Amino acid sequence: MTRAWAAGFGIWAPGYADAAAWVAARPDPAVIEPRAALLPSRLARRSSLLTRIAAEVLQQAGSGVALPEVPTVYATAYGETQTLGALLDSVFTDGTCSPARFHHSVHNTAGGLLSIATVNRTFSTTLCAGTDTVAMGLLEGLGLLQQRGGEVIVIFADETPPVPFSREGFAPAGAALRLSAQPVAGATQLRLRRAENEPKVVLRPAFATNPIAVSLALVEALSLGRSGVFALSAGECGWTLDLEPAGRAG
Amino acid sequence: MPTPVPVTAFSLCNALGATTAQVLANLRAGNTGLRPSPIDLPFETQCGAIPDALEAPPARLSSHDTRQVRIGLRVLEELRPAIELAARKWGKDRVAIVLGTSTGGIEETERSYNTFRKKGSLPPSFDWDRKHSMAALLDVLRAETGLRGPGFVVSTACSSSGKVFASAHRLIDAGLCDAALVGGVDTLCHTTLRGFHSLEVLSAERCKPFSAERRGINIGEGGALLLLEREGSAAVALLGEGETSDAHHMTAPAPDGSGARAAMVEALHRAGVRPEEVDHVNAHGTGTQLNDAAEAQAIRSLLGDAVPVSSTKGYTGHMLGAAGATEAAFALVAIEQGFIPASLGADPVDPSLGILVARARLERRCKIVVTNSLAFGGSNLSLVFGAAR
Repeated sequence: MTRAWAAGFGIWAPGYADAAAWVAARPDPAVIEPRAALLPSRLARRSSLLTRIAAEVLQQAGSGVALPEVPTVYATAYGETQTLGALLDSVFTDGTCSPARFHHSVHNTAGGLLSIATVNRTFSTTLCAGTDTVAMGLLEGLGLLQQRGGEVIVIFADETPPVPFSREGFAPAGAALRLSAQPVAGATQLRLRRAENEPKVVLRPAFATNPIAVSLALVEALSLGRSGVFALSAGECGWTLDLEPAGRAG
Repeated sequence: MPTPVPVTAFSLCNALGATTAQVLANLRAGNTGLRPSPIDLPFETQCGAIPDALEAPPARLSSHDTRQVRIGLRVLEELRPAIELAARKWGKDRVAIVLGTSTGGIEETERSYNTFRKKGSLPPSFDWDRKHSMAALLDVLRAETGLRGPGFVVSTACSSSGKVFASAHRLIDAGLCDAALVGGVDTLCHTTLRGFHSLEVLSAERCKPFSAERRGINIGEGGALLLLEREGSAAVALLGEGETSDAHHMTAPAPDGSGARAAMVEALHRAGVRPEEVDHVNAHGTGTQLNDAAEAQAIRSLLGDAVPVSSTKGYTGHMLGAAGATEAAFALVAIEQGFIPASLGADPVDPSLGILVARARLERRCKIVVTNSLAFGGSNLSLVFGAAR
């Protein structure tokens, strides 16, 4: 199976508290921190921005479903880079290594903390694939739907790498899609396929080098009910989605 | 139920040797690869370091030169003929690459960050995507093999390269590819050695999984690559996988082993195998008090106390993101070559564990072998391998 229905979605980025705000394209300077209400406040304070973004978009996409029962796929190209940066600094400055910082530096930190916070004992994975990170997150999600049926939530998130590894156009951001193996009323159908040299999706400049930025554009397309080809990655071995909003599927 | 997937080739490189033949000879002989840490540290520990020097990549890949890539290329070398055959058989677009790693090119990132601290700028050769990124090795293996199927990297700490088997099996079952190159590579580095020391689980002496005298883990490095094909000539097939979450704690396993047990239950169910059919368990067996107690409880409650259990961490150290694939290879060797490796360092076995730990090598025909990988974040993975039918 390479198709599914987008039963729910979410977005968080600085200035944009949810998908509606993102689509409206009017950033609110007051939105500087995700609510991350799934995380207990003590844990939220100790968590990275990446994990808090993941918590926020997971909750948005999972609205109305039993989160303890839904498999999750976390797609993040670089993972907990701010925590890693702080860890490197302490190790090479004074030789110290905080145990909490260490175990919060692994790539699956968000997946682990959110499985604990939501008491989800089912499937969870964390993956990356460079510029194909979003496409491969969706592919793993679709494979799970074929294997297990039901629903899966795919979470895309990357935070700005620390100095000296940071670069222009890399604002932190996250998005999530709840995919269903069965048609859902009002939901767009997605079909994933290989494609060569499809036109690139235009990304907003502040996020253009964030490897998961295309997931925000995808959620925008879904919330606007767009149809047709949506290129997830460019080049000779790219990946593309065909979007069919409800009522148009043949 | 998923279709069994033949494992048509594999290659290993770790503290037991730089070639598969060396690794397996030392595994059979019961020789450890653990030695004092080659990295300068302010505490004592043993490590599983690759004993030989690793060649630099060819000039066309010099921009990706990290220790992780060097290990990856070393492991790839032995597997090239099998990969070329698979590419011709299925087509390069139909062969996936699914890798696991915990730390990617971190060893190079550490070195470059230290340079930045001292000189105020990164070395000109450092590139975040080509050296640090977890996906850098994926790019290198794509370039070297020409494989163009789906490709991604699983990074779930110590279960990373175990979970790649499940991902690849899903891709094959879903018809998204016909074969997959799977495996994992991780290197020794300051971050993990100091990190595990800060958690007070790093052993100063050689690790002793399942022993009454166990004092913690040793870290190792290495790589494993295996070729899974929809159809093919192989002695062993991947039958099923189980993937669960503890939802308990970031670093400590659920004390009753319930998450690990659930992973084994799911894997056996998918494989169509009854618990009494299991001949051997290659355990995660890190040598920490908590891991070994929880995993033993999971094994005992599901498989009983008569199935020989081995941990191979006493040979290689805990290879983190490379452990799952390496131990999967050891599991299939138990079937292919008919021996259960001694659980090195286990004597005297902790009697409270209540499982049958293989204190010496057992020459035994195995048909079904289970291997476990358990990780930070409560990530549990269990694989079932069986003699090809």
